[in-house]
Amino acid sequence: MSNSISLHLRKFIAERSLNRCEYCLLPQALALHKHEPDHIIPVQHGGETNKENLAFSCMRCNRNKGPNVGSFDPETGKLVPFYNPRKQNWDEHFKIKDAIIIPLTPEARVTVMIFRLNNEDRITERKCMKEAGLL
Amino acid sequence: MVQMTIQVSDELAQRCKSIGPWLSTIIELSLTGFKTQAVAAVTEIIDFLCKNPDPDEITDFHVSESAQSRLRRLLALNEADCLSLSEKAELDELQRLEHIIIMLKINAAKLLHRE
Ligand SMILES: [Zn+2]
Repeated sequence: MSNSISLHLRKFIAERSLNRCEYCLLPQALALHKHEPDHIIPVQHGGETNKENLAFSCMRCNRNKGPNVGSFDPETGKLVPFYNPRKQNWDEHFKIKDAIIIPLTPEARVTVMIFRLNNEDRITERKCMKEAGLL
Repeated sequence: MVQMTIQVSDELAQRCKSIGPWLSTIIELSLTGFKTQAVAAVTEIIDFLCKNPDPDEITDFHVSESAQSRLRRLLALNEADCLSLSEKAELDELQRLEHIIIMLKINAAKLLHRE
């Protein structure tokens, strides 16, 4: 666990994301645990601890991603990397409809699947966020 | 939502009155049966809710720095694929807890909007 992230870098990562999870868009303010910078390419796969390889991530996205860098696209069976918030735009890869995050690309499909962006808890939360005018 | 009527002692009724809007979350947390080190975070939250926080204090609430660094450590182990079974169970419980509090915060935000 030597890859500690400086306070300065943490602040930069949080502000760049507008204080939201860069995968599921959950605002940090609504979370219990604060979001953490996540290595897009995990350290054990050679990922570095710098601005280009860090994404602000809620604890669930972070946990579900784990040591992985991608998965098999459920539609084509091809090995695909996850959506990369440093190189790609969220709006080009996902859309939200009726509280469900709909993937538009292969990268988005494996991300929705492995990060479990549409599990029951998360859909319930999004529905309530919508009712409260928070989404 | 279901309305429930229960009989309690006068002293308990007095205490419940002040934490009214957060009481159902306190009951849910108590009944979920957390078994791992996540209990430390659960205790923090129950202590906080028993102080009868305002809705804006709820929406500003996060776990203590020690609970946050515990999570950071678990996530680092998870990224390296080095979690023990009990640490995995702890993360499962923390995810459960995360959901319960997100729902609480959304409700608190609704109350704030109404004011
Ligand atoms: Zn997330």
